[in-house]
Amino acid sequence: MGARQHHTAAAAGSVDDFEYNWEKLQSAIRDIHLKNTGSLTFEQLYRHGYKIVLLKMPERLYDNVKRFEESWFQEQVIPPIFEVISKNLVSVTLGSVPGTSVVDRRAIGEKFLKVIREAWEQHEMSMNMIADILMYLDRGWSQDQSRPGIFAATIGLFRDHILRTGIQADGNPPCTVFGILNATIIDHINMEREGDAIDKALLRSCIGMLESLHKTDEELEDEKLYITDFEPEYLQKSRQFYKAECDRLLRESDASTWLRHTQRRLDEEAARCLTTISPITSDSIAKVLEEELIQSHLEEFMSLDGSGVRAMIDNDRTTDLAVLYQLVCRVDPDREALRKAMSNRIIEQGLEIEKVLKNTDFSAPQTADEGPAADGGDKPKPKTLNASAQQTAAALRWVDDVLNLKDRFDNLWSNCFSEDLILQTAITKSFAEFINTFDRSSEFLSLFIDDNLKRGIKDKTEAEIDVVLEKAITLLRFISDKDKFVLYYQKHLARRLIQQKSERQDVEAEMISRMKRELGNTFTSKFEGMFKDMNISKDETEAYSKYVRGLGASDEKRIELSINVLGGNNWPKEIMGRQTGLGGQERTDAAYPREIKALQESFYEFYCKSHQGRMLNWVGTLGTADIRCVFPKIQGKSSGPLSRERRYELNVTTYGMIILLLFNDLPEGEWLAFDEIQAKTNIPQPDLINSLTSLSVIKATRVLLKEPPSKAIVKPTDKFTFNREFVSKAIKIKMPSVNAANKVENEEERKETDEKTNETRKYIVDAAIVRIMKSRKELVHSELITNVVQQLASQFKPEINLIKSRIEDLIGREYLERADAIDGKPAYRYVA
Amino acid sequence: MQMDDDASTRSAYQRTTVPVIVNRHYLISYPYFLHTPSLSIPFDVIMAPEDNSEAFSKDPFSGLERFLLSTDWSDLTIICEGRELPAHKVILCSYSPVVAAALNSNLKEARTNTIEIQFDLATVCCMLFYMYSGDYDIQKGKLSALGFNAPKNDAKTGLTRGSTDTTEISEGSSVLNSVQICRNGDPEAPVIQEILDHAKMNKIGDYYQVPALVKMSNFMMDSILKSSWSTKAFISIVNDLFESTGDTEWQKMLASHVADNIVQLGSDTEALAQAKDLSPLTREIISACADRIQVVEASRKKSSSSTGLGSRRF
Repeated sequence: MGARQHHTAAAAGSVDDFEYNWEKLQSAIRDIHLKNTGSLTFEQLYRHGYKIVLLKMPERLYDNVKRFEESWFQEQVIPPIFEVISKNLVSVTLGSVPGTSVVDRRAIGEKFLKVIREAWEQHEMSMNMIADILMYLDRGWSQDQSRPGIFAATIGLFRDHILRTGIQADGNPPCTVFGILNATIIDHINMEREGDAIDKALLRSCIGMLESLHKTDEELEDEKLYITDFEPEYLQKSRQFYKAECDRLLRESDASTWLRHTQRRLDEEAARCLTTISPITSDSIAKVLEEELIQSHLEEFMSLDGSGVRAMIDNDRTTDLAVLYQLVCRVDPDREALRKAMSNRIIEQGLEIEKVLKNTDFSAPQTADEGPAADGGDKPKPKTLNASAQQTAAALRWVDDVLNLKDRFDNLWSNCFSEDLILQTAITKSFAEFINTFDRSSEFLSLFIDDNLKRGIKDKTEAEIDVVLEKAITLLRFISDKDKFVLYYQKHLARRLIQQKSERQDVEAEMISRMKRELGNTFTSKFEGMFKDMNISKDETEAYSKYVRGLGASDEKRIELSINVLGGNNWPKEIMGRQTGLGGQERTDAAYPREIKALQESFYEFYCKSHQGRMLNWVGTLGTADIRCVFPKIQGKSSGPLSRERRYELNVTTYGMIILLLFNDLPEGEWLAFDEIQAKTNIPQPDLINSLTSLSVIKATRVLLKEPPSKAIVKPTDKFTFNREFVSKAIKIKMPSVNAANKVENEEERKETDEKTNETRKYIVDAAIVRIMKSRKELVHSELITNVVQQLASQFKPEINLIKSRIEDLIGREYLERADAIDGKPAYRYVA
Repeated sequence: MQMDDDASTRSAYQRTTVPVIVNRHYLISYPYFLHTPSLSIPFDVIMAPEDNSEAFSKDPFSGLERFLLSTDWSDLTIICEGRELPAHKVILCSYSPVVAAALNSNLKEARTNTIEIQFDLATVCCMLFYMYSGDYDIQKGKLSALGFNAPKNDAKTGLTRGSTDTTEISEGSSVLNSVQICRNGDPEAPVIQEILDHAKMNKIGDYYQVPALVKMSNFMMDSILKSSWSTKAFISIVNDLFESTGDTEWQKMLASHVADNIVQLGSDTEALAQAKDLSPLTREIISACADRIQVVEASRKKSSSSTGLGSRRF
């Protein structure tokens, strides 16, 4: 009993103490609300709170403060807010567009937002001060109980008593102040999107309020009102807005406008997140934009006629492309759409090049360069372009066009696509694709190099030469049938070397060393071998002439000999003599005149001293001879060149020399028939036709007369005689080698090259298969195919059928046998 | 060069320092704070090779402690018992959210940069010691408080001499009186006085919400009770702290001492009755427990002696 008395007495005293302290605090809180804080001391107020807590009555204080604030809201804060909530505002919230103008709507909205902001700022400031003063309250008892802190509790009153207050406007469903607030903010933002100016700072303050308030007094970070209530609605309304906008753009505008517009919207929304709403929304709103403005109609915009990707590429609209790239990157990490569009355009343009080229080929022979297609391809010497020169021009044109195309896309790639790796792969792949579908790419590339090394680089600086070489290498990288290229290059290089047409040896060497760097040793070994042959031959020639002088037989009629010994492996077969080439004819030696025969024997003797056991074959089509030729004075001519004896030095092919020597012994006025010449010289017919044509048809070098005289090439029925009346202004005359200028193959030759490549490929595939099987012993069919393709990638792209047939063949020859299926797949085993 | 610089800055601080009693003991105690073992080891290693130790020696005045009660850079004045103590916002606000709130409050404290503290001067000085050095010492706090009682001139001379003895300080200070009374009175009085001083630290730490200070005060009381338990001291703590601090840890600390000394405490019902703030029930429980334990103890002794016999027999 005594104890209870003691306690109740104490309690009574406490209540008095409490009332005393609370009175003080309450008047201070009122002063704080009224901004009348001049006479307040923190220390005193804090002490009041402290005392109440030590009296063990913190709950009472807590509840008193809340009650005070609630009545303060009712009396002081809510009335002015209700005053500004008009019917219009409610309608905006409910989504119906009111009849009022935008200006009116904005004014009404601003008024409302300002009142809310004012109320909030007042409340927040007061609550901060009150919470500071009552700081001991939180410490004193919140340890024992799970009530939210005094600040959280009082600041949250704003949410409960202001924002969540319902409004019953007549005829409308109920809505809350919060609902009106959200709708008004979003309405204002939409106004800004339409181009009106709005009070951003005002919106920012209201948003700030939503960020400071939480759904519950627990104040969880992810339960801010901004996140739980405002943002979802904002995103949804924005989505509607942009969906409509994108549909409108697709209907009314072109891709370029769309790009610029989208870019602008992205920037705007990003800026809006910093200035008006919260930065935490920036990712979400960007996603809305990406989905609605970019993703939803991306392909449609990209394929728009006249402004889509195609037009952008064709018209070099680099800014558009750059923007497009950035937009695509936002929505698609694989850049699928853009990649496809680029690839298609490249292949289209590649095929275009081919088409233009074909037109040039058809139109050029008849009417040298008429029609737009032939403009760039032909050099301005339309008359004399024969078929082969035309081909060279076509090759040059093709290479140029392809490289230009490549340059353009490379530029786009680095200027617009930020050197994107995915797109680079796509571009490279597309180029490789159309280059390799064009069946003459290897040949044309080789011709391009050939032409440049022969004359193209004549007056060029080192830097320019470097550009040419680099171009060649660039293209070479794309070509998948490298073995074919090797064949062509071998042929062209052989001609350049033997006919000494190469402009500069060092550039030749540089070209080869670059190929080596790019494609490896095996690729260039033959080329290097050819160079080596040429160099050794030079020494050989010198040694021989020394040797001959050493013999002492210095007779005046001695024939100077310059020799090129070509190792059979490195040089293309057709160069080694037509005899082995077309028609499978037996190799026949031409009947060399006696003097020449002696010379040949002399050299062979010399050569065998240092190289034993070697056979030397003389290639008549490739050699040349310088002949001194005397044309007699023509009777009855007293003036002009014909009145004198004329001496000329003729440079003819070896065969040409043999033919001309026949006419040495021919009496004046007699003719030699084609058959007779063939019989006497034993020169294969095609070579003979070539040689005779060059000697008898072309006017400037017509040292033989043909019967019947015509400009057509020699036919096997023609007859020939020595042209006594031949006149030339030059003393040294080079007989043009007809058909030798034929660097481009004719159809037959090309077919032959292809056949040859295919034949070689068989062996290479065989070797690869055996190599792989030898190391793997047993292998599934599909894996074997993949491995073969991989191994040969640097040389050519083998057809799957070829590999299959080679496997069959190898099984037939008992290198492989069929093994038991591995995992149900057919397999092979290597037979040792 | 460097030494000169140091010397000049140091003297500048000394010139402007306010009346603090800086006696020999105080100066010597510096290294205690600064050269903790973990600091001194690398210190020696660096010094070892050459005799340019000055280059590496740490300025003993580099700690924040040199700003204690100094007007240098002072931006805050504490008013206590009518005296003005210079202080620094950065230090006080970082320790006490209450001071920080006061200075942010827009109220009088913030406008004038002054805070009135309603604790006694020695306690306030101790709290400042704690905030500036991480430690407090009741005696030092009292001495500093005395310094504020002295006329300014005296304090200055005392300072420059650096060896002012406490006995030279003029009398009339209530703090000093209490010290003297402690020395002359009942043998338990000094302990009680000391423990009550720590209780004050508990209260001020609680008021200004400096939990570490509260913890330290509890630790100090704990160690005093451990070394010299006294029922009187216990009762004075209870009477002093009960319902005048928001801290509860001291109760746990005290309870464990009660358990240790329950027999002595329970038998002394007269003294126990002095603990006004303990409810009668609590007091009865303590007494009852003490009785029960005595009975248990007695029977245990008896049985241990009987088992002792038994074992001997066995």
